[in-house]
Amino acid sequence: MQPVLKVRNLKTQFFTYSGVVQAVRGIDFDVYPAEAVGIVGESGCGKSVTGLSIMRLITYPPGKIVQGEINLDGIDILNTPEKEMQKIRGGKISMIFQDPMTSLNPALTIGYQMSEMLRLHTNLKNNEIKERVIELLNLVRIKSPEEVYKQYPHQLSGGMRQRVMIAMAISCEPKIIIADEPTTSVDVTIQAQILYLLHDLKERVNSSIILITHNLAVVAGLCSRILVMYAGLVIEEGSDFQIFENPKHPYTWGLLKSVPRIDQEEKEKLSTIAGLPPDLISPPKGCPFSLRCDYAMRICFEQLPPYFEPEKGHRVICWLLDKRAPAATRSKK
Amino acid sequence: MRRFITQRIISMVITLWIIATLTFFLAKAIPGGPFTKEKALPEAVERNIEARYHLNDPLIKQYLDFMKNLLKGDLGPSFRYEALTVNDIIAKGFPVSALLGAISILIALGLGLPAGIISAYKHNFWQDNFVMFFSILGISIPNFIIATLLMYIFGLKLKVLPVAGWGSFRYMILPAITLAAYPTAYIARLMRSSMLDVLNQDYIKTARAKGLSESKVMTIHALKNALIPVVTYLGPLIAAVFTGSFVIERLFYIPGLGRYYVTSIYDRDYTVILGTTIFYAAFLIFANFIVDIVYAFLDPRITYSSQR
Repeated sequence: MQPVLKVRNLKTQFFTYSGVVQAVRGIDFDVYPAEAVGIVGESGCGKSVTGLSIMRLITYPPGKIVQGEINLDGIDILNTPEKEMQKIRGGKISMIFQDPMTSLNPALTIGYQMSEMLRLHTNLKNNEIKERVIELLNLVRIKSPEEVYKQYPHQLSGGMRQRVMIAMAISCEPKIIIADEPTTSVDVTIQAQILYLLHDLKERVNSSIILITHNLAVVAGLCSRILVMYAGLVIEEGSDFQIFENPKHPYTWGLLKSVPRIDQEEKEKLSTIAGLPPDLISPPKGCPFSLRCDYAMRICFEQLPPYFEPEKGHRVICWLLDKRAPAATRSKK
Repeated sequence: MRRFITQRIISMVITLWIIATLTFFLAKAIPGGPFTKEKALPEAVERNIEARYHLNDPLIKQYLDFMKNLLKGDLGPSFRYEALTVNDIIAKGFPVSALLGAISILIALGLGLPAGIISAYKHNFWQDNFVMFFSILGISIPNFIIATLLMYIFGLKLKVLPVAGWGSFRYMILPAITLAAYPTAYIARLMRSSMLDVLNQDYIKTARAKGLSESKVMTIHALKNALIPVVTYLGPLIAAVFTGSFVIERLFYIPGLGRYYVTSIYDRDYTVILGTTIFYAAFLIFANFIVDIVYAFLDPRITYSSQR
């Protein structure tokens, strides 16, 4: 099967007064049709910038995609003229943003904001557009869609607004939906509903999903493949099974350990990874995680490891996988 | 909405009454009177005049008489211009000032809004620097300097426009430009900063992610949200510009209302002081009232009804 999206050696940088921030430092990945891929990492690891780069929504100045290749369904995204790009955005790739409270325009009705997208990317007539919007609102399980159609964003709750955002994202049946932290700013009960909705809709509209999040638990039920990003690099990639059951990178170990467990003692402290991610203006020459890694060896500080492939479809950028490295095992607790 | 309007009208009347009362007593508190001359008048003559204008009545009676006439819409006779009432002065001067003001506001909006939008869109590029350079000039150069420069260039050197007077449209061009300079520059800056703020909002990212063209993002998604600060400024601006400018009307010899605001005070022309002040205050209060109503059209989150 051909991937619907191919990203190769993508590098996105921000030219700021204090220096060039290397937000994404050469990442590769594929997304296959109707597949859900999770991109996981802490704030500032480059996951959102990756999403915006695929949409080519990085604004210059200060941001710029300096190198790489993005191929969507045969279209070379980085060399497409802006006019063509406007047809792709919303039509072939759509995006759901983090904060539903601020992602809808406060001055326009929900109906208008949703119709706008259909008017741009489909040939539907005005009355058909309205029908389709109502149908979409029904699809994301909004009660009384006729009423919501006429309402303004401030009249809806956060969860409802995120549903509207999702309805908008699926409206033109895109090849790929990029969901950038879609559950971060809604409460936990709504989070579960939103995730369930995404899962359900993925089957119906046959789109691929790139789910960007800092929360491994969010990815767990939805994505079949997971990319763990750190300091602008994909440090581990694998199937959901490989990442959750057999992770190889100490950073992934740390991430998994910091997910709160239901059987955890009440007074027990949540596990964290000590330290901060490196400064991306002058990233370390070796492995970016070496400074926080319990298993760091001398070579980790000196040279960036290559990708090792312990299993098919599982790539890890870590010197521990080299034959000469001492055996390190994940401390289970 | 109806309840909001009624409440506002009541508070507007109270505000006006306070302004009228304060102005009345402040004007009377200025030493001297309308008929004080370097050479004292014979006492009998002075007493006669005072009796004619009821200036010898107790202050409180004068105040009550003034209020009674004000309610009837009669602002009284001018002390300085014998044949004119204050109503006449306003009726003659205001249309001239308002016409000039309207042209200036159109210039200010027509130039200031696009300049501000371009400047925000091209933030930190040469277009932005260009607009900001001229807007600093517009804000910092006093209008009498702009006026004299314009007169010198277009009147004396190029000889294309009259330097003073009032009549056909040609006479209005230079004063209108002078009057518009400051508001144009101010609106451009206001629009720029408000637009920059809106362009950083998440919903603009959403609009771009939908595949909208930049022009649609700017006009449909950004403009309506960015206009609110400009509308706020327009209320006082319209009141100030429509009621005339002392300096500009003096320099261009325009028979507007502007000069009376200043001359009436050193003439101690009590009725004209009161009339022009109340007229200006009423205009300002009303303009702000309209601004509040326009808000509701721009931002659906602002409603004036009690039920949601």
